Amino acid sequence: MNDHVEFTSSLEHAAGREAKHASILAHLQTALEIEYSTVPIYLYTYYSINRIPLTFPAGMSAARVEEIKTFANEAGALLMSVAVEEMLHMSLAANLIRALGGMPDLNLYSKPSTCYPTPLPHHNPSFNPDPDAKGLLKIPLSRFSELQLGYFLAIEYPEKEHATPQGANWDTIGQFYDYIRDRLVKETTDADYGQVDFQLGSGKGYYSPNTIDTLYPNKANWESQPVNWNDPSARGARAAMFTNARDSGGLIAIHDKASALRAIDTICTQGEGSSSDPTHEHDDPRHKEDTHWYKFNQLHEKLKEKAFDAEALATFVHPFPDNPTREMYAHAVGYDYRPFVDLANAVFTYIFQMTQASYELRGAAQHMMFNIGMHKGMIFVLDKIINAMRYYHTDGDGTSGKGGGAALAPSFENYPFKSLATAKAEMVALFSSAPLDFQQSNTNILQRLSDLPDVHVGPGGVIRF
Amino acid sequence: MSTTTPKPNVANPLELHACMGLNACKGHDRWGDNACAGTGYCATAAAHSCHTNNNCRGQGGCGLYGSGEEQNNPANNGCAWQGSCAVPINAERFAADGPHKRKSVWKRARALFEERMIKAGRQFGPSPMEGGPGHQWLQDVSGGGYTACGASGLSGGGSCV
Repeated sequence: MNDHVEFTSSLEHAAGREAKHASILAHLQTALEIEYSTVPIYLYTYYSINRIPLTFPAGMSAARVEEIKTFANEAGALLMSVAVEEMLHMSLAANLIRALGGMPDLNLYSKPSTCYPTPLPHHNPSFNPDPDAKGLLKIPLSRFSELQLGYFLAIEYPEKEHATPQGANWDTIGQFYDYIRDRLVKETTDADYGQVDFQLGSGKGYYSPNTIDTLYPNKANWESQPVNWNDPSARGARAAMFTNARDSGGLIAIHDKASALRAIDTICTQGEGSSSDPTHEHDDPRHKEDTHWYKFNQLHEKLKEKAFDAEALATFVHPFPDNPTREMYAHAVGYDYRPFVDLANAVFTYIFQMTQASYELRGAAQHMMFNIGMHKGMIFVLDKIINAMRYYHTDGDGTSGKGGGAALAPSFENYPFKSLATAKAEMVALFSSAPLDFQQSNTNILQRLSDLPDVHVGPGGVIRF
Repeated sequence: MSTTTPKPNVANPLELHACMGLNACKGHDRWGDNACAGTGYCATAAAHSCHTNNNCRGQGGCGLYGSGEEQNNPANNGCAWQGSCAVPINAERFAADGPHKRKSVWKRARALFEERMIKAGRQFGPSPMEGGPGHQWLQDVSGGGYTACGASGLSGGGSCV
């Protein structure tokens, strides 16, 4: 149980490297912040989608219903597949920082890039999907729509071949990473990279390109096909479309210059493909995975091609407001939803606190903090809370399904914990202030909050629950 | 104050396992009346809905979330909270990642169980259902309380809460 003890000596060892590469580290921290700031943006739009809609206007044809249902699930899967890889990119940027002797800073919520709409850090592109927009491109938290997909395309906009690397005021993310790549090539040697144990590396179960949420069925009515009772899984497996592929790159620890450059390549190609490929379609050697830009462009094109108007969108898009804040919910007509929004914000903040803590640990301590904490926190706590929130309405009375106005959506703001030592207890207390029907039907969430690892790590690196 | 020594009150524990056909011993399915290894009808491990929610070794399901390695080892996890998904394992579930991708999770779990029995020199019988327990059957025996996970609907077991 000496994980934390060894961290102290590692820091001393790293001090020299950190000073040597201070400027590169600052750019890598910006890279981390760029990746970080996209996560709430993509997740917000993801959660606005009801992937399995069940209610449709009377008179809508069965074919149209089937078309909408298939698209809704595909759109959700593609958005989740991109969000998963943005989290991967954030981890790779943090690994690069750790490898060069720095410490990634994931406590970013005091920064402007987490107040929406937000410009991405140092982003100054010429492309803006909103014709009425003036000045800097600012990305909103907004529900699924053609315009929001336009913003996503602006984020992932591919760089032109032979474009100039840009360390600031960058046009495309690719050019920003080109700048970092050039500096790593010119200014570092293999000896500059270390602290592998304190990175989030491969072979630890930390990353999976696909989950059940990044898949979608090729047809919404796939369950109408006959079941083979010798293998009942075959029907779903045949219908399943896998949006990510393992050969596009995954989570690696950075131990030398080559692995550092490989991490940069993974980030760039998954986002926008190769600048020498004018289609920007694939990001992997086997052509099993599309780039983020291509995924969004496909959705954008399909929206237009299938003429999904407001009526069609209303069947599978929750009425999320634009850029909500917890204070905005204070003005809800019949119920004060702020404690509920605070609960979601607290869990979101806690997830990044667990990630921060993971970079200060290694071995079993890191594994317990990250593997258990992140999976449980993201999939079985935050996901379930936001899923439930969507069915409360700001003109309702604090009961799920009541009202018909704007839906309750996460604001992805910082929750100011009193201290790391009390953070878990504070989340439990917030759960007790959420709407009563939510508490009653989600007692398992309360248990899972209690099961999260405590970010206030005990003496000697002991992880407490 | 009583001076009598407290007597242990511990029932004979069952081997906890994750699903139909994965029991190593007679009488070790949920209802305790199976005649032979491998023939039990149901999990003895606590039902849970997904990744990292299993109580102990060998009690994780598989196939929906988690790394490729985890998904290749259904009901064969080394420790608490390392299971890759819900228990029991519905027959419709296929692996979302790893070397067993697109293939039946229950069949993989059964194959690992059979390997373990052969290695131990144990006889075992056939599973009551060749492809594992279907979602509808699990719903019926659980009184409608069974769910697997995920937003895509492809788990074949609904969406967990």
